[in-house]
Amino acid sequence: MTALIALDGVSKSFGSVKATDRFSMELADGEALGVIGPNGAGKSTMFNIITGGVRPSEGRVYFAGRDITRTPAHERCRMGIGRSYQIPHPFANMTVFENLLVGAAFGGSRTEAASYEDCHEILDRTGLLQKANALAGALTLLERKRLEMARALATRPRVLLLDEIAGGLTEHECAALVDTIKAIHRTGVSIVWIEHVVHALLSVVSRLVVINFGRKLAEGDPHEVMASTEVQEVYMGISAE
Amino acid sequence: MEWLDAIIQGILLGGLYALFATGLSLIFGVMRLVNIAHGDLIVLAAFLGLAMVNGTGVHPLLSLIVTVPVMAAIGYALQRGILNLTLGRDILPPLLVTFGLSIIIQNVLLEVFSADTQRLKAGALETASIAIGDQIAIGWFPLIVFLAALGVIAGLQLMLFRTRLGMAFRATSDDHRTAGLMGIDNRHVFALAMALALGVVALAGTFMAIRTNFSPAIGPARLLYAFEAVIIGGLGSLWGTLAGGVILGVAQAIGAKFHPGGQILAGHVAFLIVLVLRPNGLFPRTRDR
Repeated sequence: MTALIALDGVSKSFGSVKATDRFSMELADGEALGVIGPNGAGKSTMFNIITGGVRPSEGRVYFAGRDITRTPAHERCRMGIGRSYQIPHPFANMTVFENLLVGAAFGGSRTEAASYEDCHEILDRTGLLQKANALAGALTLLERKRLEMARALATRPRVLLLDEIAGGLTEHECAALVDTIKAIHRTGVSIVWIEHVVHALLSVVSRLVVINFGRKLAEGDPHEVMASTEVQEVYMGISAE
Repeated sequence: MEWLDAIIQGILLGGLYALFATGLSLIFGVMRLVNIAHGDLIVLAAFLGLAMVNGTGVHPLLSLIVTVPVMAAIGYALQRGILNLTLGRDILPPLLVTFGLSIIIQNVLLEVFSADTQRLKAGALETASIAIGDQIAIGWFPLIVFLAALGVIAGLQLMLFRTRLGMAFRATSDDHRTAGLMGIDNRHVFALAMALALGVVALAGTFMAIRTNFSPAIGPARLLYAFEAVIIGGLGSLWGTLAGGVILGVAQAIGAKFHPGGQILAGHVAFLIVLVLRPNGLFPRTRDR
């Protein structure tokens, strides 16, 4: 079976900084993959390469077997790549409901009636129903993070890229978020999740990739990867003596 | 009575200024592009109308059936072919390119139509009026222009808040990168916005050509009125743009009452007063990052 997403030797430099350095990875259809690494390791750049915000200077990007290296971002979205940003980017002058409607109508290529139902259901699932008619610019940080995920879901993605969505949440909020993400995964949506809140990550993903200096440092079973001395040393900042 | 008359004429003139400014406002709102060639595009539309009327003998208002779609098509091609390439983090490239475009349009018009002043003749419509009492008469043509401005702005407002395309406009206006991630093709959306804007420009150019004399060189002054109307009303707000046009028109009409040469100056003074007291305009968009 072909991988849903495959990165084949992609590199991207910003000036002299190599944000991504000959990086390869695969995501199977239906898989939930976790990505960890220190700040500035190139995790978000990797997401940008997948969504089309950044074009790699070398290497190829594949989606469901198709080479999408030169495909513009809006077409990738329509193919089924959804993403949430670490720093929320809502359409501030539109209501929460309209934010989702944009995703559903354009990214999900749905009719208007079907879009309304979808959006209502997604708002309910992500706990934003009460805020449906509020201006997105007036939301709290937690609500904006939920909106990021809700809007990505409205595009009916086959894979959802989540960028540090649990950061800054209380224990209780985080647990609720994990439940929501698990429920999304159960509906058949593949997940790639960049997260510093490791315990939240480990309760969802079945495989873990560790990135450092734009390269893959380790990969495999989450608990084994977390236990490896290499990862402890580089990522957790604990010297293994 | 004389003053009331001046104010009424000023309001009606404001309709024309609002039409000048609507395209500018829409484009700035959707893609943060300041189109320096806007005034020259208005003049281009006027000459297109002139060529139509001279060539076929139709009434100027009937020529709109052709000039509006032609200008819209030019707008779409211009945006896809040139202006999209200039949009980015830096605000300078679009300014420079549209400035160059302004010079090109002026010179092409000069080459083709010469520097002579022209006028579109609308026959009896130019002088037809409705008398209200003994001292006030409202011209049919200024009234038509004002109602057209109202209709255009109401229509655009409906489009923005009731249609799929309008939703795409508002989303790209808020954050065009994220709009791309939501499946919106920005290049296409921007081009449609420019097409709409130049469709309105065709209307404005033809009305201007019926109302006043025009020549290839008058574009920059129209741009100035358009800018002032947009800034008075508040950037990105269409109803504000209408209000801005009306304020400009009324100020000019009142200025002309004080002194025959005071018309233009009074408009600029009104603009400066608003700029000092309300730098964001009278009806700024609620939220902008």
